[in-house]
Amino acid sequence: MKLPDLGIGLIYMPGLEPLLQAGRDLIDVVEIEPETHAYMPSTGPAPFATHPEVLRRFQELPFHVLLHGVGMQAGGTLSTMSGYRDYFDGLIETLSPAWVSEHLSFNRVAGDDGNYDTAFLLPPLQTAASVELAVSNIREFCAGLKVPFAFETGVNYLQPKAGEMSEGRFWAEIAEQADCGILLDLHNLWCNQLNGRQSVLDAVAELPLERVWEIHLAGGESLNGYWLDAHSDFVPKPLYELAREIVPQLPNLKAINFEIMDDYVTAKGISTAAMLDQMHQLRDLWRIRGTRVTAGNRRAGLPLAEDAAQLPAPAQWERLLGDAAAGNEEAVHRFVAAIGEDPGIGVFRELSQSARAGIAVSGLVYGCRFLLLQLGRQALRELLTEFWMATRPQLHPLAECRSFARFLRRRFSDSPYLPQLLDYDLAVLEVKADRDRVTVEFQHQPDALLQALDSGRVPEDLPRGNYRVSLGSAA
Amino acid sequence: MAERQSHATIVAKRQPTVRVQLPAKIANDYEKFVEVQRSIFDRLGHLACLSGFDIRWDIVSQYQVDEKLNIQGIAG
Repeated sequence: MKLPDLGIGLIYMPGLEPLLQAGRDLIDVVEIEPETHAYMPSTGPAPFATHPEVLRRFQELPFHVLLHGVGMQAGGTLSTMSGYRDYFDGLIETLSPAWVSEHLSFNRVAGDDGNYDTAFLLPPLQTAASVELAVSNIREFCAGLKVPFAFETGVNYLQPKAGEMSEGRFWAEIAEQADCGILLDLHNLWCNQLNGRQSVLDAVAELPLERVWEIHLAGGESLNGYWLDAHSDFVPKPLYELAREIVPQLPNLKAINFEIMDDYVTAKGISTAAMLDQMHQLRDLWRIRGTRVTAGNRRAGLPLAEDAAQLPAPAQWERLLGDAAAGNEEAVHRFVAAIGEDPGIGVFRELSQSARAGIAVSGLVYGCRFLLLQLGRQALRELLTEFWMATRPQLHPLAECRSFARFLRRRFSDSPYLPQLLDYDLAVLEVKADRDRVTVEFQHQPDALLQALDSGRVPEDLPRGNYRVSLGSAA
Repeated sequence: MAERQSHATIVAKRQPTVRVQLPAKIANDYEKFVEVQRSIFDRLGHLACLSGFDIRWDIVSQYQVDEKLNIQGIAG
């Protein structure tokens, strides 16, 4: 398969626009994760929709564009959500990526009371059954797909289980049987190595290197002794040195993309100049691609152990891990009873909860601000924890915020201000999605109420009255 | 919030109801606070469903208790 040489780039985030402008002559490609910029349509069967002006911005980017999805469930037993393929096909039509990619993970699980979201991408168990499942998922997704497909090599915070395949062999089997490309995420492999799984070089030695079309590089940080794929910093020096060993061995490498979250850029005060330096380092890597290709020395990987047969089937694994990562302590006990102790479960729980906390405070802006001022940071965190233990995560932030707002309304039914603040927060989210106009009733002067919160004060003794705030999508 | 106020227009004041119109894009000041250029790109999707640690809780909850809005070093 002949793919174009795209070059170096990064995953798109709005806060990285200054870098895109400053690095216009240095950057070749931008990879878009469409679900990050999508909303939940209020009507119709599509699970996601993207605003036309957002699509226009993507079309105007003076770079090659790639698409990197999270909604396909390439590593899971639940089929891709109804309407997702149409949504993705529409993006391919509009943005003409040279190829598309997906995570070899799952974030939806079949529970007793219906399917639920895990708020985080979770790893499949590396077994022959999971290979068969992933191959079937990829083949089904690729049927009629207008561009080639690659899967991303994932991060896994769990310890290897007796009888599991190595990462390298698992990915190699899937890529060859599904006849697709590999997006080699070297920071994921770096995390796996540091956290007790297969080393980067051993995993790479087992891969069909001619199938590696793209590399992801990133930086992370530590949490409770684990190295996280946090996309929070520059590429660690030892990982960059490993990349210098690996990139020359790749005969068909077509893109190298850097991943960093714009929140971290802001919070750490990372300058655009420093980001440009990182892009220059990627350019140095790009120049040595395919310069030391050796054929025929791929390692086969270990044969499957006899105890592989005792590992749970994919659906059972998803339920155990999904429940443990996104549920209550009982679910953790069930995981431990079936699989054994694994501190990695605690990491997945923290990450899932960080995602839910981030959605709550950035969605229910005034409601959470009020509670922070009224009750304090610790008390709001305890409320969030209680909410997480009682409810499943939701895929869409708006749905998650509605769920948390319901929880808060029940808890603070006698609060004079909180219900109207929650109404207002949800209305803002709905209008940012696809509602033309939403009207919110206030029983206190809205400007005085919001201004008090903006200036960090708990509102007190505000004059009562009947007010309506009408929120619209245009200024 | 100053930006929000400047765009807020009281379009009708008829007792007992006051109606205020706001464009949703400037209806809260979190985006302004983090000083990133979101413009038309409000964070609508499930950004953190990938594999990293979402720091928005730290940013927002520390913002609330720091009157100087000093967020340097919270993620580091």
